[in-house]
Amino acid sequence: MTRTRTRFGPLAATASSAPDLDIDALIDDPATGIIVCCGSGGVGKTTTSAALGLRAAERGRKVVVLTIDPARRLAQSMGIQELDNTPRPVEGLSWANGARAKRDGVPRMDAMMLDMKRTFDEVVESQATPEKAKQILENPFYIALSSSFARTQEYMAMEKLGQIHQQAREDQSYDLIVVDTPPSRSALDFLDAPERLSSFLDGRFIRLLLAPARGPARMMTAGVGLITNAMTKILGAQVLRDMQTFVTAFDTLFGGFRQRAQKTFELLQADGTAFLVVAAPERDALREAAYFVERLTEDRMPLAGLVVNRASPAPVGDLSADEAMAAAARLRKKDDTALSGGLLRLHADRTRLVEREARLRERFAAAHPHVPTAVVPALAGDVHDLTGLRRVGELLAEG
Amino acid sequence: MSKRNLTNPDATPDWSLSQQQRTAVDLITVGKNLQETADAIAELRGARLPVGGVIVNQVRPQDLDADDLAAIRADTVEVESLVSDLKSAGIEAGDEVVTGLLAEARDHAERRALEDAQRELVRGFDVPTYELPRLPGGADLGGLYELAAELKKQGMA
Repeated sequence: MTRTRTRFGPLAATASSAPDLDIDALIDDPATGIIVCCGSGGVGKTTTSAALGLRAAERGRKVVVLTIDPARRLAQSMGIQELDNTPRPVEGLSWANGARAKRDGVPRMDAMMLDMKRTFDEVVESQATPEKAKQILENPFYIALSSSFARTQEYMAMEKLGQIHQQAREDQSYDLIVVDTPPSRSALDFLDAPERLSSFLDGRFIRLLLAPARGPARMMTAGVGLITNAMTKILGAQVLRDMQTFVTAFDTLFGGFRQRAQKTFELLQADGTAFLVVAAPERDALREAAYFVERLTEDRMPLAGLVVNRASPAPVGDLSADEAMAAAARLRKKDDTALSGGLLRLHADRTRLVEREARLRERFAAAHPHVPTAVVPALAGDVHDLTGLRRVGELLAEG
Repeated sequence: MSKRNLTNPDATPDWSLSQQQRTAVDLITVGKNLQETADAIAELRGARLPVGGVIVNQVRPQDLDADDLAAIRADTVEVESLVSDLKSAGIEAGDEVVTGLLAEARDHAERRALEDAQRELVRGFDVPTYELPRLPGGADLGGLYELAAELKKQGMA
């Protein structure tokens, strides 16, 4: 079921620098209602989401940050180490200097860690009668599917986004939702969610399972009977019965699911949504970023720009790496342990790294010249508290 | 070849592995978040899964020794002798160059301090630890061979 991919990009381009991404303009714009951060794992996506949320809140927005799997200490600093699937207020915020929309009281930011299974359960509970919901929730096949089925996480993140958006519109609780997506290429598979659910539930395999569950054995055609008999032998009767019960019960919910997924999809395409692709200045991460950029463009999702995290800070002065290495080699002949030699090697290492990262970014910009970019220099320490997040927010804005 | 399961501390372990005596869970981490590795070891031990070793990845080059780092942190570097050293090696050591080098050194010292603190934390785990250098050119096939050789040299395989 591979779709034809269209290539997006210029016909020819020279390596160049990308237009600047203005983070403050994005988060201050009252029309921005949802920011979705996507990107491959290990590029600082969760930190970026939290830092964006914090900055927006301290500049006057009412923010909720939905995260998938934050580092433990970061989660603790935001007070969301508990998985209860409900946004919790983050303590310790203060208004930014010159915040445009100074309001009464303290800035408001809630944060939530997604509990995939609970979100799934809530959907089932809201869509089915209590007896039917109980039947589904207790089904072993449902339990396995809801907690480990590939891509359930992506879909559930979008489901939760839809729920919170709906609630925020009704009670004005938030005016900006920042979403951190699961760390994989499949993170964008939620874009397929309506079709995916449909193909899962309309699949031949599922149809086969549904057929015998709907009536006594004599109603079946001989062919289906043969297949289910074979499957009973392989899977065991109990497993098959559980699957049949599950699918039959689930089938009636399917209409609701599909409709909701379609709504979320439309919400994402709307003007109030902004996608940020997060990457690190490494070849693999930027390749993934290119995939995300193309995929979003293809689905006509509003792409706000690229955030390149953890860039090595540019060295001061114009001493080149080659010059530094040559001098370090000369010094080493005289005194192997001299501080000067060590400093020069350090400088050469840093300069080369910075050059390499700049080259990678230029290549990306040449292939995707329309993508505004913010470059965030790496911090020396780990980011695990509000002070760190605030600093990342500043760097994002300076980007 | 022994059966080792290289796993990310964030990933959920496959519990059926605990049945196999030849399985050990090795943890890979970067110097910044060893607290999570500590938590993972405690959880693995709680689940009676054998913990193999801890691999600290992307360790910075150690171009400066402890005395140098201490001097940089305390801001007691003898700038004049540094300048004359640099000049003797043919570098025009103007203010900008020297300030730049020292700023980079301070940044490096901060990261090294963090790594050292984390290294102490790992020692407390009482498991074998291995360190892999950060590859300046990024990882490619040749780089993987270098890392494999490094692990072998350190006695992991």
